[in-house]
Amino acid sequence: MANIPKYYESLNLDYKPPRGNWMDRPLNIKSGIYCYPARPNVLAGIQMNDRSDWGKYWVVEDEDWELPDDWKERFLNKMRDMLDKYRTFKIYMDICVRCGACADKCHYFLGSGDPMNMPVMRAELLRSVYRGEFTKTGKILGRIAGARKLTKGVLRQIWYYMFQCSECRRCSTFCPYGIDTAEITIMAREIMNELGMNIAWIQESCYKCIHTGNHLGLQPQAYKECIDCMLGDIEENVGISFDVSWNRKGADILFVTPSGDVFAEPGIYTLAGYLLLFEYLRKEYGFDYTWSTYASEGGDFGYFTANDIAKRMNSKIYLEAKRLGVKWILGGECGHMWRVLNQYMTTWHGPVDFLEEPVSPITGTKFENAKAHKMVHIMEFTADLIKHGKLKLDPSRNDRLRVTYHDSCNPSRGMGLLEEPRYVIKNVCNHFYEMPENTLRDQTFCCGSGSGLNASENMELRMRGGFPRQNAVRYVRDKYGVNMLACICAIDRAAFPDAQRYWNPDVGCTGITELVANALIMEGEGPRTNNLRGFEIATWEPKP
Amino acid sequence: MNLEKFLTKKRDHVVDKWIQSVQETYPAETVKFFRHQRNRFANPLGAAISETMGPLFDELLNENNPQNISSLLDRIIRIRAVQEFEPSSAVAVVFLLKKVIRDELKKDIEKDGLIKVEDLLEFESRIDYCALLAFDVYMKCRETIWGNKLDDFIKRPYVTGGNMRCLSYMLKQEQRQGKVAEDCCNNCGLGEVR
Repeated sequence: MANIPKYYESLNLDYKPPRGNWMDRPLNIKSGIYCYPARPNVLAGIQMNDRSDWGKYWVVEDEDWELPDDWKERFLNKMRDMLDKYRTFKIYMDICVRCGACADKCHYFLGSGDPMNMPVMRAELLRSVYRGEFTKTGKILGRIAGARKLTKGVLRQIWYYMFQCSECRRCSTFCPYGIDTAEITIMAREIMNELGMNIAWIQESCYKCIHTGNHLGLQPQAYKECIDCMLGDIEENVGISFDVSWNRKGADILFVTPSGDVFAEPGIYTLAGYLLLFEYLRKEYGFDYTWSTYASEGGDFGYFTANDIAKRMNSKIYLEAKRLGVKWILGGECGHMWRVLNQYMTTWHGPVDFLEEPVSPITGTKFENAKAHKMVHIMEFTADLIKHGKLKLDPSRNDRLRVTYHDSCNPSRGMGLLEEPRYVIKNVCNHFYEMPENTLRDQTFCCGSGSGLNASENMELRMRGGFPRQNAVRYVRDKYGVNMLACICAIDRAAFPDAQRYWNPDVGCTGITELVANALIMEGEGPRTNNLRGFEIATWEPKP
Repeated sequence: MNLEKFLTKKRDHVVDKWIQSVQETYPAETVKFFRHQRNRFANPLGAAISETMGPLFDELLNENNPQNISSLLDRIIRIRAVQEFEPSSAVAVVFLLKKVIRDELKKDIEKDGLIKVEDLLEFESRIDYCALLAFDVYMKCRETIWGNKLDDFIKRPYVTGGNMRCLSYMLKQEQRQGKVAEDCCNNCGLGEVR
């Protein structure tokens, strides 16, 4: 027995990955992790650098990325411009002390175990180039100072990892210096636009949005018909029929929501929820609002590619509000939309003197937090209605659901919308359970598919990124029997079904307004045996 | 001494070694993090490794119930199926146990007396079977990934081909199965079957 063979020694098997300095490690570009690049004609359609002057569509896994001869100058010139223009960017490049506080906070790192996904390392990709190309110490000391020159290999690495960041900003919550690593990703992506290197999922959405008003490219008649179809479904399931108004001048309020809710499951049921809620308010309190086929998109994928595009795509909301002469704007459940609205919109287009300070026409509540940008989140609006007892609710209709709530990154971390959604859920559902504290509120985990990474070809990346959140969902599922994950973000609603089919196949996904509408007692309603999805309330088993 | 007794006595040590060798299939910086962060929500991957290997070892040693083995493997393989690993390295976690046990036997075999060859072969066969189950789990995970991709392809025609169809129509088709396009309001013209 002393001669037990060593473990497959002759095969020379070793599962340990390469060690040593990160700058020397080979980059292994793997299918399933990256998104397809944008097509040149799409880029041309939104007047972005489209490679047409060197005429190549590039393939990510190829060794040669078909770069133009002056690629390096283009990159560095743009980077210099950005460093001059944005002081924050320069500060973020300079002040990181590599303390590691952010290192283990990224959901992509936690899901992949790849240290290059630590926020500090992802930023270091760009920072090392900054040191090597822009600072004296870096130029003299080289790698001792953590500096390196920009090469094609370095560019590949930067591109690969900058599109593995969902700009959720969890890392920046933990940074003692307040470095916003997501902003570094934003800058890096904008710099790489100089080389026509952005991804199809983002750029095609931008292209469609600029040409038709929404990311999905729904033309006005299709947009209207989608909503008409939902009105038909509501008639079938709730027993009341009504119509909504379109592009109506002189309405009190303009309602804007992400187009994902108009054309994707389960977001479309959240849309049915909005319709039903507003109809209730119209009948009971004379609530006066309009939809718009022009401002038919609340989200802003431009934000994931370049500041100018983001501004251009966002401008339609105010333009439409001005054209229709509404008092203020009400916004649907969306994630990055709210970060853009709260933190960029007035800087881009302000002051917004053509709108009034939002006041709820039903309760008289003044939304002082929306004083500057004049847009109110549907959760603030609904929570206020419930607080004043303006909604007749029957939470028992949601009794089959054991609900937990996912704080969508941008509304929670970006605008501090923490209590309102919980308040609403608790009033429309009898079974609500929180996930563990360090996965919630400002420490919430991203769904894994934010910032335009919600494509299909990068499914493995999305599953990795979704793992920390799903791990917490799994915990409440096992402990309390949770079978429904509520959220207030259209990207969440598109991303979670995929992630849950993989990680938690017996937990469904819903928007909060859908829960509200299911509990809402409408005047003249038929027997509410079915929910908005058309399933029997008494027997429904939610599935992703 | 019989192998089962030997492994029972050495259980904690073997499991620790196994956990360690699974952790070491990740880059050095990640391994450091696995050992430093104990919270299972802040370190879900590390927690999955350290919470699974022990029960899996016990199951192999005592019960050997394929269903339990599969569900334990699922926790770990499901994660590895979407990570950097090649398929072989993703399921290799199981075989790493062989190495751990052989190393242990080598150290202690002279002291504790002989262990029957057939005992060892029998236990290693269990590990082999466990590896086959790991392959099943791995494939099931990959099928789900491809299922998701296919699902997206069908449900996101606006991205893949530009030929949009009305969602309400698609949903009705799905729920009622069999009814045809007239079922849709059909005003938008998107609902037509091409």
